[in-house]
Amino acid sequence: MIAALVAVASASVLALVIVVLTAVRARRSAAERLGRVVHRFVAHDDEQPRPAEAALEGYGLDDWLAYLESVATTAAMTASLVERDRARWQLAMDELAIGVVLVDEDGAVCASNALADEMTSARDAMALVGAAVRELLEQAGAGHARSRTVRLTGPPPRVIEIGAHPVASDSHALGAVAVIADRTEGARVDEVRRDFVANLSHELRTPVGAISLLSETLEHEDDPAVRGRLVDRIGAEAERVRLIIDDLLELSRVELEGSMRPEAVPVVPLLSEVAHQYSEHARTHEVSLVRPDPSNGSAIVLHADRGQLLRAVGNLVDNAIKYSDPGAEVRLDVLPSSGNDRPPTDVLAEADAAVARIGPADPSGSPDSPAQPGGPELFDPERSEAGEPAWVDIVVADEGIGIPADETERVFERFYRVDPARARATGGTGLGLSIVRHVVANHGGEVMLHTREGVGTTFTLRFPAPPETGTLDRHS
Amino acid sequence: MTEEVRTEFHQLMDEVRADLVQMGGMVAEGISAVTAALLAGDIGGADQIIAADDELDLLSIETEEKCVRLLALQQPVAVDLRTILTDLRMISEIERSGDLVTNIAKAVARLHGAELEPRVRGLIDRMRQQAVKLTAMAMDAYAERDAGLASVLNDMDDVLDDLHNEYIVSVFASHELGKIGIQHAVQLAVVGRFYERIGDHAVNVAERVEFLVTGELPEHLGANRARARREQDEM
Repeated sequence: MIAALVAVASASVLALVIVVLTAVRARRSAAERLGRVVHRFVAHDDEQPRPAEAALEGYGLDDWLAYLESVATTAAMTASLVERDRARWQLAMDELAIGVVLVDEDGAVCASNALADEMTSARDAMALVGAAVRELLEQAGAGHARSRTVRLTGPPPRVIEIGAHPVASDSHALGAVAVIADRTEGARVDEVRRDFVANLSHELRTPVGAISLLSETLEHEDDPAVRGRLVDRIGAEAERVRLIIDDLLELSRVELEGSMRPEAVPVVPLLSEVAHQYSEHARTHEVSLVRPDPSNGSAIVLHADRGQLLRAVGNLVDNAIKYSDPGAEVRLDVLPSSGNDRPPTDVLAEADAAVARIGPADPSGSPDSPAQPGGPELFDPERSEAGEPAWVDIVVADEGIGIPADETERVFERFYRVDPARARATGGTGLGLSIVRHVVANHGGEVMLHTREGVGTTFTLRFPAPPETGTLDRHS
Repeated sequence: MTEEVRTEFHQLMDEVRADLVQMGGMVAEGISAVTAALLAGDIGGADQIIAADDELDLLSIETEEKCVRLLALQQPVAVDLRTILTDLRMISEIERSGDLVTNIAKAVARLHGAELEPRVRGLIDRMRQQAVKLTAMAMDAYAERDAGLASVLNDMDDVLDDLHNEYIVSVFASHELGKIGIQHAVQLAVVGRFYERIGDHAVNVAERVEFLVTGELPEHLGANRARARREQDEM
């Protein structure tokens, strides 16, 4: 009985010894495994603190766990640094004026910037840009650099250039990158330059050529009636050259910095003066000119060059009359404005009028870009945000033929004609709106154009109000 | 389906979606380009547009093949099946819109020499604007699975319908004033009809999107009424 008990007890002790021994061995092998894992973990990470090689030999499980803890803390810090780094890159990429899309070796997008997202998520004609990016990235992923230009009709027309390149490290393919650049402005400037030279030589050559031909004919002509007709024609052609030269000179004057003679100009009397100046012109075209109601906004005063203002508004009224049918109305108005670009008339709003804004500064450097505004102080955005009428709008509205939606910006170019045949017949020089544009730019303002063919056109000349104007008007 | 096959399946479905958006983009650009050619009387430009329709046809066939492959090889069910069936219907709607663009392009040559009045030109440009807008909105509703957006398209199409009516009136007014001949007036009227039809196809696309998201088609209401009537007749 006792012997049996002793046997059981010794067996238990043996079992306990075995268990303890096994546990110690397990602990030791766990420590070794953990050591290997931690080693692998820090092998490529220079950020991690490393104990001396000699110390590692004697590390037990607790030592390794403590080390792992410090590794984890450092890793978490590194991860947040990486995350911040990534966020910084993303924000920097979003600032780029080009779109960037990066895909991995399976063609899945791993990074893209805001501009690229905007362009590739379009569902209108711009969807073609997204499709081209997709296609080129696929080819670049297969190792072929590709580029393509996508031209969209608009309006407004767009020219988008896409380039895709393989991304590889030591000939090991990692994916592909696409770069999307909007070349619209560059293409437009090129077109303006090209057309300007062509149109200028055409405008000047045609009448001069006619004069030399007519005078040659005159030399060999004896019939006094025919001679009279020829002389009249020569006079008319010479007049055309004179008008063009006058307008070109005017344009250079307006462009000239420091040529402004700003003074306080009450706007309503100025508009009445323009209306009076063009009343004869309006009568022959059977168009009625509507002047602003003198009781309304009569206190509005602009700090401006009176001569330039007269010229700009005059050019607009001249156009409005020319492009109106008999019986139509041309309305002149002035009103304080807080700077919105809503169509100024309900009729145009209803007709979904096309809009063009020609701002004060055109950075394109095209021959048509206006001179730097040398005029009075620019508009103060704080006043506008407070809802104060920080601008003064001079409006010339007609019910004429309107301007095609895709030409609303081009009409401000020198010598640009929507319909050359009609323009010739109406006797314009093709410089009127260029002058308007420069005058407004000189005053730190902008031109807005709302138009619809067959409905009418409204030009809004928007000038920054001198500080006292807003208050004056509110009290009146 | 194993995980790998599923991924491939969804990749192909995404490809179909991207293809459809591209087709929509081709139609939107086509509408703008053909309108520019029409207003400028640019017969060469119109010929290019007619040639470009081949690209749309090719893409629509390729996309259709992808759909058929999805159906045959994966035998999808539920929402996946509904998506592929919707995609198939959409392909033909968009492809038809492309054909209408081609029809307008063909009319450019037939309208050669016609002096379009500003009012008529303005209305053509507005129909262009609306047709592009409707097409882009329908594609947006499709790509984003936006049933709300899809449901407003039908009402928005009224704008295009009204414009179309106004346009027809001014085309014939223009003819009565002797500004254009009867041949040209008829051609112009037909062109207006093409714009209006493009709007209808956009509405059809939107209805398909509603079906895709909600499982309901506007036609179902009518179909239910017919079914009820049939049952009543049988009683």
